[in-house]
Amino acid sequence: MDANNTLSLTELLALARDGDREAYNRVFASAYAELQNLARLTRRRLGGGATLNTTGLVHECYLRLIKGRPDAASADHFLAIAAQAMRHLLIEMARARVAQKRGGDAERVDLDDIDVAQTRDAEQLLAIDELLRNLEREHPQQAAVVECRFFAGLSDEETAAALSMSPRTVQREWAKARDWLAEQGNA
Amino acid sequence: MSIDRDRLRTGGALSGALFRGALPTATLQRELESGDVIGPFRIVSELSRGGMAIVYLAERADGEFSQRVALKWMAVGADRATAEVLFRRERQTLAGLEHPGIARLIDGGRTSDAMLWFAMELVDGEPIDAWCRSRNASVATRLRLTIALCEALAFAHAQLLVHRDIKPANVLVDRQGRIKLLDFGIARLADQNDLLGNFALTPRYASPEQWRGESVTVSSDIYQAGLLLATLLDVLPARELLHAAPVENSAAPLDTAHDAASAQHVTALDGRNGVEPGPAPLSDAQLAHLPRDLAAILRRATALSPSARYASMAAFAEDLANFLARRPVAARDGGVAYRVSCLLRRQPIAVAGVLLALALLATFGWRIAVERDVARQQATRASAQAARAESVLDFLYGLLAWATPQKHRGEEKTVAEALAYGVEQVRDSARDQSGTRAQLLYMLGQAYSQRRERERSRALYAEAYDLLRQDPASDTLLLAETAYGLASQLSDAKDRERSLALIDEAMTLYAQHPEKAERRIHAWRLKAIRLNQNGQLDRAIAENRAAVASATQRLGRENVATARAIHDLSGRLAEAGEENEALSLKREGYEILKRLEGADHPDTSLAAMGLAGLLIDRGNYAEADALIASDGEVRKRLWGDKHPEYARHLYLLASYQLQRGKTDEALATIRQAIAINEASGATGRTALAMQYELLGRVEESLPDFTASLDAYRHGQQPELFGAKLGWDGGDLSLGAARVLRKLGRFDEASAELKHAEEVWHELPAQHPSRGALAIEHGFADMARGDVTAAREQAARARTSLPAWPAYDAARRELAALEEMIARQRVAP
Repeated sequence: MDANNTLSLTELLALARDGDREAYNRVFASAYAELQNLARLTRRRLGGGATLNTTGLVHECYLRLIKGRPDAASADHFLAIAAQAMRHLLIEMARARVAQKRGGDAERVDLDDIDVAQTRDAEQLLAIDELLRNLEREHPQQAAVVECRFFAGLSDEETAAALSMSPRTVQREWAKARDWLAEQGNA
Repeated sequence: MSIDRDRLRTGGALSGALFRGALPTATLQRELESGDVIGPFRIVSELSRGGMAIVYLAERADGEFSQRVALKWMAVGADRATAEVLFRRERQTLAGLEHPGIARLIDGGRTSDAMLWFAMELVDGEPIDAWCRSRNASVATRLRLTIALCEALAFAHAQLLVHRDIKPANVLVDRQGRIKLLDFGIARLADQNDLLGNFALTPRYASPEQWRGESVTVSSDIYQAGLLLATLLDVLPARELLHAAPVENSAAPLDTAHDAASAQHVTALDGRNGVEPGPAPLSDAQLAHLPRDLAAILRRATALSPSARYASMAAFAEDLANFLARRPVAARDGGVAYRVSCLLRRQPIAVAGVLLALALLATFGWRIAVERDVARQQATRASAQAARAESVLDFLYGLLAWATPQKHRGEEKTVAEALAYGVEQVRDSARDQSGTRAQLLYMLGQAYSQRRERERSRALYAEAYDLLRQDPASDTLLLAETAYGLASQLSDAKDRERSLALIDEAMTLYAQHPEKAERRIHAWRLKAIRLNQNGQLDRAIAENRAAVASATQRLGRENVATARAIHDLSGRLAEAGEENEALSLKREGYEILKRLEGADHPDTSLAAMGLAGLLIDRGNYAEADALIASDGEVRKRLWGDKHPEYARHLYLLASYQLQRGKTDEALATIRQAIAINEASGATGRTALAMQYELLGRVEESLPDFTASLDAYRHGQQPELFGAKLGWDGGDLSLGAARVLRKLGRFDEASAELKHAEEVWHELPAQHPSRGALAIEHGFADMARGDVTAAREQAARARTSLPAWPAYDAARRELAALEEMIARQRVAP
């Protein structure tokens, strides 16, 4: 629709970087929808032995949305927002999976191994997400790094660019956050 | 629970069993070949394929009887255990769904390798959009097909079955020209089996609630049927998205506040930001080629909020039939006369709003176009308040009856008296319903606001607001309107923070009502105005930009509210010296308004004046000439030549005349403008200040410096304009300083300069106003004998004065300053 094309993704990202919440929301919404789309496409595209390049997902999302000429600065900022959208998407899936298990127990005759593994994975993701929200209050920077690395599969360098940090800081924060999460998880 | 440290690696969340498990189901998908046996059916040939499934022609293989079916082979793998249960349940429900417009579901199952299949009644037909296209079907035919579709859906809805996936590919037209709806129940089955539930949606036709993953009701089918009709009427491109091509709708916004509705769900996930994707409403531009009634029907059917849509398929079908029979349609949001005729029968409470607006019309005949909008708003607003219908209606009838001549022995009551009587009634009456009382106070407040009786309006709004705030169960929309109304009446400097807080409150509340996007944009614009009055020009511009972006997104570019927001942004950019962007936006806003509202609408006229002002500044006289002349005519016709609104035209005309050197004409024109404003009393104070400033400049160029100084001083009177004059105060001080310097009164001039400096210190350094100010500073420096400082000021002015004709006078002053500096150099 016309209206959606009036502001380009790059313009929206610039607005979002300046704190425009509306623009941020629009980017987030686009990223979320596009990630959903991509996940669905990937599902269809994958052959038996193909492996999924996890980072590819957010990058491809950007390329599909940008429509015009990609520009490095806005791409970096987009990755940060897309990482948040990816987290949102995964947590939605995890919730759906856990809810399905609870609600479906009565009807379920047998659970196969895949079901068990997926439910366990979903529960882990929800636990991590829960802890991450605590971490966000204390160390928002660490939480943002976890979002980029763990949920969106970005590398050190990509995370650094997305969050405007040095790669060394990213490595430090990532290590601290992992230790903290593992420790909390086992407490 | 314990967390494996090993999980916490790059991309860990994506490589887990959950996400991977959701992906590779497709690896199991295989294509069927002729002869394959699925359940009791044998595959004959492929019929079609889409993103979700391949459809095969199949025939019964168990030899019990001969039957040909369309076998749908789903791309999505099934969850083994639940599939069985779902099938059993679903098959029972669908078995009762026998309707000529609905293709029957015959059988379905899950193969040993987890693939889902469905066997459906075989329909020999063509998708509805292709059918209409290939036969070049008339609009009437397209509507009749849609009505038939609505009837089939109404039949299913009566059995509490929702289709959920209505799109052209699922609506076939057979050889007899009858519609057949495919896939009933399948979307639901697929949804419940798919871990990524919503992925099964056809994004282009998904309703907002489906995007949000909420439970789906008949209203969602109404939305989808509406979009289908939009496709048939060429409102939406008729392109079937078989493969998940980029979806236009996916970039639709969810505005900050919209999230409030789903905030709990979303914040729980994210903690910071919650947004979900969803569609945008059909824009005015998309509907422009349709008859207005038909556009209104589409708008109602595809409203983003389910409660704003038709209540049932039957109501939708009935309105389409009304349109075909040229009867008034329920969805039409038309003019007063239309409303009255329709609403008298259908929505008595809406009539109350119309009556109030008509009562206002009685005194404000000259503002008909504005009133029409008010009437429209009133009617819409009033219709939402059904619960309070009776008493509000009674009250207004009483009010109008009281104002009729018969009741006062032929002595006609004015509307002013009627309103005063109304206020008395509301305050005295024992109407214990605080909501009703607040509603009435609000309406009266609005009536007074229309009459520009600020004090009374403010008091009524404040009373309504307090009442609503005390009642936790009060109507949020009414509270929003009241907060906004009150904020709009709180313009004094001392009330500004309160006004801003009320605007924020109103915006948050409007956001809970997505159909009130326009009101929210209006509130947003008011916020920018208040910030600007506070001297926060940068923030005001940022808010204006955000408002334009939001309006464009939610309402479309070709929309009145968007055009007004563009107009505001442009005005502010001009203040900030961004004249190029301001001019192009101003032109765009004006063109949009002219197209949508016509040249005679007050908003269009305002935009025309703004555009003319910028054109004059830039010396684009040919274009400005025509605009000013025609707008003068419009204003005279709308308001008469004794009204402050007409004086605004005179102001513009005078500045135009001054710039073109017609000083005597300019003097007469601006004096006429001032006379009108002074006679009209309380209103238009800022306008008056600006008019005195212009008078000062005209006198200055005559040159009559004493008269000029008088004019500037007059404009500065604090009792006229309150404590703070805003940017205009700077112009008055600068003018006064310039004249004082020419009169040789340097001390007084320097006090004025100081004041202008204070007013303008937030403007960007390159702003033309600051350039003009630098010139006077330069002269002051020269008077003190500080040539170096003067030279610096001159250089600063040189770089910040634009080359446009509007700054000719300033450049002449600058030349004089530079000459004076040069002479100092040769004769030290």
